[in-house]
Amino acid sequence: MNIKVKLFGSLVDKTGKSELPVSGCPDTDSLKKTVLTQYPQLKDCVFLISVNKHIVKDNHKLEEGNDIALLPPFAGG
Amino acid sequence: MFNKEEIERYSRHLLLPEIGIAGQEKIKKSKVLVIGAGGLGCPALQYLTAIGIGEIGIVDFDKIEASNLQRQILYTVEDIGKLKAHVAVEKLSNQNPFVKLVPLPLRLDNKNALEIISQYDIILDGTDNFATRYLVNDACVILNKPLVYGSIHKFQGQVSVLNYTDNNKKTGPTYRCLFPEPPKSGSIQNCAEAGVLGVLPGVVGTLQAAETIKIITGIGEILSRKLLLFDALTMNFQIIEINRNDGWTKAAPKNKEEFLKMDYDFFCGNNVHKGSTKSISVNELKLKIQNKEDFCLLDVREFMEQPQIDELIDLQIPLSEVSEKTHLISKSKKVIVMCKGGTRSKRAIEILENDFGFNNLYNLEGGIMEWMKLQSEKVI
Repeated sequence: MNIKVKLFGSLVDKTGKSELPVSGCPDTDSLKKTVLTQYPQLKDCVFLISVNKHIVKDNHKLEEGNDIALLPPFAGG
Repeated sequence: MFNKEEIERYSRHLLLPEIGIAGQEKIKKSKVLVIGAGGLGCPALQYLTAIGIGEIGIVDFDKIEASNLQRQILYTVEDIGKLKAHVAVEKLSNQNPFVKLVPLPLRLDNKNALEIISQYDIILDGTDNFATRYLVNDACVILNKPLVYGSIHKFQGQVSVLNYTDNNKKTGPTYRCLFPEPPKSGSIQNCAEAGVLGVLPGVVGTLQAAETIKIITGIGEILSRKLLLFDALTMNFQIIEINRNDGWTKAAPKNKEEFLKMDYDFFCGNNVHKGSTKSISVNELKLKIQNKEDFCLLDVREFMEQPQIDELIDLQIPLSEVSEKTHLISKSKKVIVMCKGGTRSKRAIEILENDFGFNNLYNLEGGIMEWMKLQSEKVI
């Protein structure tokens, strides 16, 4: 299963990418683990995971074509 | 309730059946507190003043700098060096004399926040740091006030109406339902560090003003339980659904007593090593330069940040790159670390001491701003 993960804010700065292709992740826990293994510079980052425009807090099953975004807080005002 | 001049001024609102006289009266009776008169605060203040909010409080302890003028469109060149809260009140009073404007040129903290926030109906968050953002959120939760939240990063913005109690007496999520834990100190850059597109806060602050008007007049759908994301590069607006999460808000202070005991700087990791960092004053630095002492100056500001002072440049490594470039920093000489105001340099020292074993670092208290002050005193 291939999934595109959209990155926002400081996560784009830290990875140099606004979208990551991720494969073989059946749920959000494994997705998070895969992203952090690929990009260890994100390990100290706080971010929300949104699946199909809903914030998911607990582990959430993923399906092909899901719209996924990783949303860090923004500091500026 | 409105005189002839007001009827004329607000005529375009009065024409809207959704607002009309009744809505405009609600606007006139309302009291809004804008925290931060910067990128988000300026456009929000200008619209809230234009539409005739009864009373607007403006909290900001900062002074106007040349680098603000690229996006904080309330201010002009003559205002540089003046207090934002005072200049904002002066300009906005000319814009609409029917609005009571209250300047609050102070640093919001847990000792004064509840007293100030309790006097207003709606709070608009235009802060630029996490410590104040959590403080304002927690105060709004304790006082049961809606918080119109906005924040920005480079080309992107977030907007939401937090802690909003709807007609069914159900209260929506708070900032802690979004982010229960603050990000690690220094891991997310603010506008001064990362840069920001000039019009971005104009868009986001105006959206916050729009939500404020909707809360007051009760029209439309409030952006509660929703997080709006805006990206100026793709012109994409999207709304993400969020839930209230009472479990996640457990760490928040529940009442005034607990709130007073909170140390928001500590919570956000700003002063974790309070007191342990060695520091020197700008006066001491001046003496060291005059005496030609052997030391190195490390500037951890971003490369484009002003002012660049020839006298104070030895080595420049932005805070975000410090961990990767430690080999450039002397471990034998005394190294004086500085930034704009002394916070980032302190963070850089914490990183270098804790992770890389440095013990020869001194923080320049008050940073370049304090140095500039010393120079201007000398001129006078």
